[in-house]
This record gives sequence, C-alpha cells and structure tokens, in this order.
Amino acid sequence: MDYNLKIGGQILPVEADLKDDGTLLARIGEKSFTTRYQIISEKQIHIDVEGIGMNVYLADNDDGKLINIHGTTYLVQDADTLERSGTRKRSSKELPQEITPPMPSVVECIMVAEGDVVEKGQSVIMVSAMKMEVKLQAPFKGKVLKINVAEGDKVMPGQILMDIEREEEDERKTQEEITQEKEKI
Amino acid sequence: MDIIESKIDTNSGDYKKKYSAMESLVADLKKELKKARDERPQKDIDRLAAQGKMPVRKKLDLLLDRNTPFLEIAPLAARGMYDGKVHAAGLVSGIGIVEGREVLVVASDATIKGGAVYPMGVKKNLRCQTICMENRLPMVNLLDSAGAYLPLQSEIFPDIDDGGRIFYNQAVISKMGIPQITAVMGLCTAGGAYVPAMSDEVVHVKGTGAIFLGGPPLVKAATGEEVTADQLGGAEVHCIESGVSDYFAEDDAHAIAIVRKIVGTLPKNEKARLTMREPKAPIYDAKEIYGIVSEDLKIPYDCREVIARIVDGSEFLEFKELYGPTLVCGFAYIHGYPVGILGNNGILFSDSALKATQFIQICDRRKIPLVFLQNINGYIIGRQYERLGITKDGHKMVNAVSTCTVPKFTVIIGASFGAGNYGMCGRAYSPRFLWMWPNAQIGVMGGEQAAGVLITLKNDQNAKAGLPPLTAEEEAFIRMPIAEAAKKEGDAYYSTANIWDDGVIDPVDTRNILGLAISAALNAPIRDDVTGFGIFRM
Amino acid sequence: MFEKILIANRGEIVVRIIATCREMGIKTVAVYSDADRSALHVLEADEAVYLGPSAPAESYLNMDKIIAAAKQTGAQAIHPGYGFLAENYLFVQRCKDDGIVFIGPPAQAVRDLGDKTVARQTMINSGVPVIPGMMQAEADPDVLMKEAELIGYPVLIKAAAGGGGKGMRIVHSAGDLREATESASREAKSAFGNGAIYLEKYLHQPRHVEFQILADAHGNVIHLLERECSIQRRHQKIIEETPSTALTPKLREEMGKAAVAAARASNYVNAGTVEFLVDHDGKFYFLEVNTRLQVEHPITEMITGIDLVRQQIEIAAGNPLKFSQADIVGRGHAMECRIYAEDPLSAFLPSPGKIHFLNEPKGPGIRNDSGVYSGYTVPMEYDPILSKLITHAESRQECINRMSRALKDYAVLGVLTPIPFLKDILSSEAFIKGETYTDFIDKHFAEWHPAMEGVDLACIAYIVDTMANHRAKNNFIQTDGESYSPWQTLGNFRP
Repeated sequence: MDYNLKIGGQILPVEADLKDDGTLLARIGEKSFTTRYQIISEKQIHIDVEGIGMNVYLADNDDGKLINIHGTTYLVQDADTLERSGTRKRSSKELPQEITPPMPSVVECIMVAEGDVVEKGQSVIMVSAMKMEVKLQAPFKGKVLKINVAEGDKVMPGQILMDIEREEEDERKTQEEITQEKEKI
Repeated sequence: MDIIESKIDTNSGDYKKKYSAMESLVADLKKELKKARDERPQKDIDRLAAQGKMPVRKKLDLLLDRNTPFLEIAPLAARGMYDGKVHAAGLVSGIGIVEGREVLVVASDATIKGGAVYPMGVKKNLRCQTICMENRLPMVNLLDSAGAYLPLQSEIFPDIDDGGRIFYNQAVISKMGIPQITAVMGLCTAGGAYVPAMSDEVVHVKGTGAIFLGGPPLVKAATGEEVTADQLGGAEVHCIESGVSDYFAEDDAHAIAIVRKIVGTLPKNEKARLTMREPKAPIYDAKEIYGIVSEDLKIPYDCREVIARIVDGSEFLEFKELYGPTLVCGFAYIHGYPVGILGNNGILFSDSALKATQFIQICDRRKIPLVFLQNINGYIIGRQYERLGITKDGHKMVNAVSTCTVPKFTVIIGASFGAGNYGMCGRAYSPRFLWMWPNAQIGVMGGEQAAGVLITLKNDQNAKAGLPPLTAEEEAFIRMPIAEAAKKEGDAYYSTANIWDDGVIDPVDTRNILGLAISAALNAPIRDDVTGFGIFRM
Repeated sequence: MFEKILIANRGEIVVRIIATCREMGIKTVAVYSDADRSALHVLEADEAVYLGPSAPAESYLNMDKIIAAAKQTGAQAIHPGYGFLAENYLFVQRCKDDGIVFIGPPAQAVRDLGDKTVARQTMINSGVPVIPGMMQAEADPDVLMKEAELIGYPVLIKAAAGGGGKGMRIVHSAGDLREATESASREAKSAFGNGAIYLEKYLHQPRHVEFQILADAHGNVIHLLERECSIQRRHQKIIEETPSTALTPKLREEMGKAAVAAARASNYVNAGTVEFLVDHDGKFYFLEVNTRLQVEHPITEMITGIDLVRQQIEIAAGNPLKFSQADIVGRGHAMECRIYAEDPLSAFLPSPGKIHFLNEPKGPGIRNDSGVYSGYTVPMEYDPILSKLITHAESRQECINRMSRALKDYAVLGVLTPIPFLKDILSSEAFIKGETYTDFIDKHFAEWHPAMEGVDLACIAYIVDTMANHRAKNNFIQTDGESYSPWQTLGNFRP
C-alpha cells in the first residue's frame, strides 16, 4: 500500500508491503527497509529494523498518530487523508450584483441619497413583501448615482432600484482578493 | 465438526508439477490485472491532469476508508474486446468500506477512451446494479464519461438489457430504499445525465462536472446556440439555478470528501442474522491448492482437499457421505459464517443429484448460505441412467437451486459444462456472486466432447448417404476449429471479459473473498415470507 | 507521632509525601480543586477534601479552606509541599493559632528569611558572605542609580518579595537602569503583589549551588551536602545534580559551615535550603534561604540515603535528629531532570492535554517521582509538571549515561515534553565537561531544534501500526449479530 506521510514538516512517500508472517518491506523515499514486527498491545509494538530491535509506543491523536521511539515523540500524519478532511472555504460568496428585489415587494425605506459613497455590503434599500422585510446591499464600494424608485413604490424582480458606480480601486482590490484566495486553496 | 484429514503428499512429483502449473496461471492473472489497472495511454493521463481531474485509483484511495478491503467486480471486463484497450470496460467497480459502511462504488475511468461507455460497460453497470439490489448495498457513482461509444450504439441503446435499463434500475433501487449517491466529476451527457438525476444526492464539481441532455455540439447543431459545457450544465447552473445537483464541490478531492460525509449520514443497516462462530483459519496452507487442482481438467482429485483449505479450522460436517459420492456436501464455517458447501468429485448421477436437492432444502430451511465449488462436466448419460430418471433427478436439483431463498455463492474451480453448470448454480441461477479460478473452463460441453459429437454426427450422415466414415485427417479438420473455439471461448479470461463472472481470482484468496461476499450479502434480509420450491417431479 | 497529616499541595510532591507517610503508618489527607478531581494525589490519599474552583486563590492558596479541611478530617499536621502556601508565614501562624502542627520552620523564620533584604542583613550579621548589593528595597530611581554605581556594573535587579526569576533584570550600564527598574518592579508587583526591588552585583558565569539543611527543635543543625542547579532556563531550574563539579572538599566544608551558620542565625527548624552563588574564583556568596522542601530534594536523598520527608515529619513531631554531621556521607552521583508538559520548540509554552500513554523508565538507580498516569488530562490551570526523573550512579559520567538511557525509555504520548531537549543537553560536550554555569542554556542551546533522526523509523512504525493493528476496526459500523466481519479484519485486502 502507498502512503504519503507527513512528519516533522516534510512529506515522505512510503511504499509498504506488509506480510502476515510478521515482516514489512518498506521503501521510504529512496531507502529500503526490512522490518520484523510484533504487536504487543494496542499502544505498543516491537520492531526490528535491519537487525536493530526497539519498542515503539503509539497513540492516536485527533490529527494523526503520536509515535515515541527512544524517548522522542513524533507526530505522523497521513497526508492524503489530511487533504480530504480540510474544510473548504468557498470562494467569496457573491452578493447579487444588482440592486433588485428577490420577489414582488414594496419599497419601505431608502437608506442612502444620490451622491453618497457606500461600502461593499452596506444596506442601501429596504423592501417588504409577504410580511417580511428584506435589506438589499451594495455589491461593491462605490457612489450612488441614481435612485430609480421612491418609498411606497411597488417593485418587481429584475427591476433595478438603484444605480451604483463602482469605485475603480475596489475593482482592482477585488481581483487581488480573488487571486489570493485561489492561491490559498 | 470433523476436521478434514488431508491426504496430499506435498513432496510428490505430481503435486509439484500441478503446483508450478497453477503458480504460473496465477502469475499470468496478476499480470493481466496489473495491465488492466495500470496500462493507460500517457496522453490521456496528461489530459486528465491538465483538466485538474484526479485519476480514478486515487479517487478510490481517498473515498474508501484507509486500510480496508476492496472487492473489485469484473476487473478484467472487456479484455481483448474492441481494440483491446478498453480495460475493465472503462469502469472501476467494487465493494469497499466508506465511513465504516459497505458500499458499492462505480467509478468511470476517464483515462480509457475519455470514459466512453462501451457495450460491456453497460453490462458491467447493470451487473453492479443487480448486486446492489440483491444485496441491498448503497451505491456510490463517481462519473466522468464522454458518453456512449456511438459506433456501437446498437449494442448500447435499444434492448431490454441495454443502457435504458440502467435508469429503470435506478428508479427501482430508489424505490427499494437503497441510497444512490453520485459525484459528477466530468461530463454526464444525454443518457449519462440521468444517472445523477435518478440518484438520491448529487455532488457536482465546479468547472469540470457538467450535466446536460444535449452537449454543446448538439445544441449548436439543433438551435444554433453557442455555449460552453460549463455554461450549459456546470456546477453553478445546477446547484444554484436548476436544483439538479445538491452539493457544490471545488474539485475532485472536495467532492469525495462530501460524498464521504453523505455516506456518513446513512443509517446503520441491520444485517441478516446468522448464527456465527468465532473465525478460525484453516489448518492447512491455502497455497497447497495449487498442487491439488489441475490445469488439465480431466485429472480428478478429491474436492474435500480444496474444501479443507477454505473453511474455518478445516472443519466440515459431511452430509450423506456414503450416498451419491460424486457430490460432496456438508456444513462448515467460513470466516465465522455458517455455510452449506457443495463440491464435485466426478459427474452427477441420480443419487448425487437427489442428495444435493435434499441438502439445498435443508440449508434453505435453516437459513444457511450455500457455497458451490463447481468442477462439473455434466450429468451421467446413457440408456441405463435415462431409464432410472436422471433427467428428472437433475431437474430436482436445478429446481432446488433456482427456487431456494438463501444467498448462494459460486466459485468455478475447474470445469463448468452443460447442465452441470445449472445444477451447481451457474450464472443463470443468480448466485449473489460468481468467480472463476484461472484454470476454469466453461461451455455447453468440453471441446473434445463437442468435436466427438460432431464427428459422430458426420459419420452417421456419411453412413446414411453411403459415404465412407471420416478419415483421421478429416476428423482432425473438424476437431481443430472446435477445439480452438472451445478453448478460446471457454477459458476463464473469455468468461470474465464477457462478465459471465465477477472476476477471476487467485485460489488462495477464495476464503477471504467468500467471507467478504457473505458479509456483504447479509445486508439483504433472508426472506422467510417466501417459502417452498417449484413442484418436484418425483 | 502524628496519626494523620494533611498535605496542602497537589501533584507529584503530594504523591511523594504520601509514600513516606504510608511507610510511617500515618494516614493522609489530600485536598483538590475542580481541575484535580481525578489527579493522582487524590487517588493515592486515604482521604480527600474538595476545596473549590480551580483558581489557586480559591483552592490551594486559600488558607481558610485548608485549615477547615484539616479540622474536618482531624489532621494533626499539615505538610505544605513546595510553592503555594509553603513559604507563607501568615499561613504558618494560622496553623499554630489553630492548633495544627505546620511541618516546616516557625513563622518568624519564614517571615525573616522570606524578605530578601532582611535575610541578607541576617547573613551579614552572622558572617555569611553575601553578594555585594543593597540592604533594602528601594523605589527612588536616583538612589538606585547611586547604589548601582557603588556595586559596580553589571548589576542584577531582584524582587524583594519572591524568586523564580520574576522581577529580575540584568543591567549592564547606567543608561538602561531606569527603564529596567520600572519594568522589573511592575513584573514583581504582578507576580507577588509587591513591587519592591533591590540591586545586587551580577556575577559572571556563576554556579548556583545550594545546601540542604536539617534543624531540629533541640538546637541540632546539620547540612546534607550540596546540590548544583546551574542548568536553568529563564531562571527556572531544569537539571540539578549532586555533588557539584565546582566544589573542592575544602570549599564544600566551608560552604556547609556557612549554610549551618545561616540556619542557626535565623533560628531555623525543619528542612530548608541555603542557596549560594559560586564564582569563577571559588568565592561563594549567600543568595537566599528557601524555607521549605525543594523540588530537587530527591537527589540529596539518593546520595545520602536519608528520607528528607521522614526527617521533616520527625522534626515536626518534636523528635531530635538521629544523626550528626559526621554521619552525613555522600555516595556516588545523582541527577534530576524536571519533566514538564511543555513544548520545547515553542519557547517551552505549556502543553496541557490528555496523556494517551505513559511508559516510565525503570531500572537500577532510577527514581521517577510522578504525579500523572496514563489517561490523565494535564490541567492548564497549574504548573504543568509531569514528573521528576532522578538517577543515581557511582560516578558522574555513569550518572549521565543512566539519565540519558532513562530519558530514552521515557515515553509520553499526548502532551509535549522537553525530553528531547534534555537528552541533547546531557550529551553535550559542555555538560559532560561539567561546565554548568547559569548561562549554560543561553550559551549552548539558545536556538535548539530536535534532531529528527528517527523519522524513517517513525514512518515504519506508523505503517506497522496502521496496517497490522487494524485500526480500521474503530471506524467500522458494527451491526448486531455479525460479531466479526472480514471487512473489519482483513485490513488492506485487495485481490
């Protein structure tokens, strides 16, 4: 069986052939080892590597296996399964790019004025429908150019309630953010 | 339970000859398996990597629990078919452990013809679904398929057991309450789009996964609309807008992590309860089977020697030992599971057929799974036997095998010819699983026999027409092609290429494979509401 | 003799004291806080009394609760261990007032010796050499500046109210003095509640040598030889040994006499330790007296063969010492390594957590005073000491070998320990040569990293354990009726 073991900050490729008769043939990177092994208990094994015998104590941790040989403890992890347990950060949840209501509603309150500078995510207009109030947010930093509705108006999905001019720097920054996030993942 | 005493002399020349013959058959098998698993065109491997996709074996490594068994189904399907390069029919399938549960995994291998579906691929898929339904195993699909291999569409599309049946089965499986989880890791076009649609839960990989009834070329041809695969049926479309897919995955590894989490939510399945015992290894070395069983199927041996190297502690309670000696049957345990074993020591006579019938009824009543170790040339023929009713006695055995409700498992360890195949639970008799050993041969009758029959017929014809009987040369002329065809179409590799079995196995692994299979089969209840057999002609 | 003793402490020292009490037939009472409910000392004692929440102020430092516990259980004496209330003269007084014998020196001695400046004065009056420095604490920075000039740079700023490195600063020149005194004072205030500081001469490459003394209530005072504690990290001792490689027999005799004189001068009773600094020229200076049993007392016990805790109890019970100075002979060499739950790679930050597995070293000349067990969760509320590993052998080199071997056998899984760090110190040339000055760590091990020489072996062990020990078992969903599934037991079977 093949493993990629993470230990001491490095990842070592290991090919292992474990036989029932108590021997293990392993290739770690470029080196080959012949080992005789004995299971002593759940936390202890005895291995004989290339003629030298030693007791090894082991315990499973949340993130790997703790292995103690000659007084030094190593944390060994299975690099392949580490991959699958990492939580994925989804690429930035996109705010709707237009100020438009999600369902037919009534404009309750317009929270900004033409000419205001707004931040990304800032609530700019509140609409209500079906006994619920929904705050619509600015998708990016920018300046409010034109407000197309008035309080009390009935509005439909698809109708643009407000025009916001995106601030130029913001666009560049967003690009950077996106690239950074890609690299992290 | 009595321990089977082995009478094999491991030092005899005979033993050693057989041993090395079987050893080389097994070595060939391992080579074939390696080739089917590893031989891939470099350009396809590169293309996959360039697309950011993970190779299928790596997907399985991530999907399955670490350090657990994986029982692959039909790894040598489509061997030697088409252009000889459609290894395993383009699919990797098998039973493995995911989050502690037994699951049947079917994964497209996109490095084989882009994952295109060949006729054998359809058959393999259907076989996997049958295994799912009979054994109630959840199914996990990892899809990445270019679609049907169009030049062979007539073998893929129209018939009852062609592509359409896959979706029918999916609906039936779903109705049965068996979970189906699909990860869309590549294209799922047209028919292929239905696999995720018919599944319970779909994980869709961003960028590479796409589901659509018609792909971009078809759409352009039909409506002139120009659109990319991702725009047409990518992860965003189906996760956000259409609701066809249920989970959004960043890449293959993420998708597999999500699949694992989903499997982790499945309820623990109650297995059928058998009265188990603590497992014990056989007291004889399984590898000795190599020196017991012969490549030349005419050479007899005592099948008890094989049984002794498969069952727990080599313990076997033989049933009706002195009656019908050409069939050996009895009770034993494999990996702790109680089993009723039937093995052949020669051809079937009336008494052996009757004995088998009685034994099958007993096991059926007691809910003991049946294991058939087939090495059978057929039933006895001849005037004396016909008069004694061999036909109806053979029928009784076939009836019992067909209508019993306990799970059956068959391993063809030698010959499998004619009605013997039927009585000993061949493929058509729905054993839960069927495997072959590398020395196995299967056919309506052995090549020699078939040639003999044809030669006799020709000689009869000649006699009627007043012509002389066939010369040795003419006989050879008839015999050769038959013998060759029988050899080619009857060997284990031909069988497994056509998915007439679930795999060719190393005899040494038989015990473990049976153990895993029995355990997997217990996920389906052993029905006790359906009792009885067909009418036995007495 | 007492019938019952309460030990007002926690961890390994309580376990060690309980051992001696048991041998003497004395019943033991342990006390514990929330975090220590299943601590080893609680499990070992005959009785245990719950004190309250884990914060020391509400448990081990709470005099009312401890006295109440003693009264409640009928304990006639209290052994304070080390740390917590051991050097708190108010507590000593409380015990006396409440009719409980305090196993330690009288309150007055604790008070006098606890005040560093008072202690210095006492020593000067008794002719015990002291480090040139100030007689009393001073806050005025100008006065401090003048005193520093008198003493001569480099000077050491020390806290008057406590030790352990808190409130300590080394100042090399006048320009740094003001800031250093302010910072030291703040630190002292936060650690001891008292920001008073004073100045001393800073000695270059001194050795920290302390003498164990025993004094009974009948006027007998003896010393039980010295301990060398120079291997320190941030003024915390980590390796101690005896005898000290810095002492000649003559120097030992002189210092021993001075230690006894110091004890007498302060009317000392019971066990205590007189700490000295020894400079390059073999001149020694009084540092302080620790009016309690020290953490490193076991090494003295190993070379003298005398059970110090037993002596403490005997003295507290009013019995005279059974031996004289001439009877005290040291045989062989002993060392102690303190094993803490700390991460040597992250500046020795505490590493609390669950101990999954513990394998303690054994063999001739090995003693492990442990306060933990396999499965125990080391709490983060207190000093993370796991055990003290002590070895005793015929010579210093053999003792080093023995300790190295013992450390190699010491397996602690689940919390980090400085064992690899200690192993490297013991095998270093400087240590073997005996060059153990108080700047040992800074000089030789400031940028220490563990040698990962066993990486391949660890990988092999991982494979063997994963594949042969069949850990897949844990994750397998077992169903009733199927007791042994081959899906669990066959490991990586892939035909």
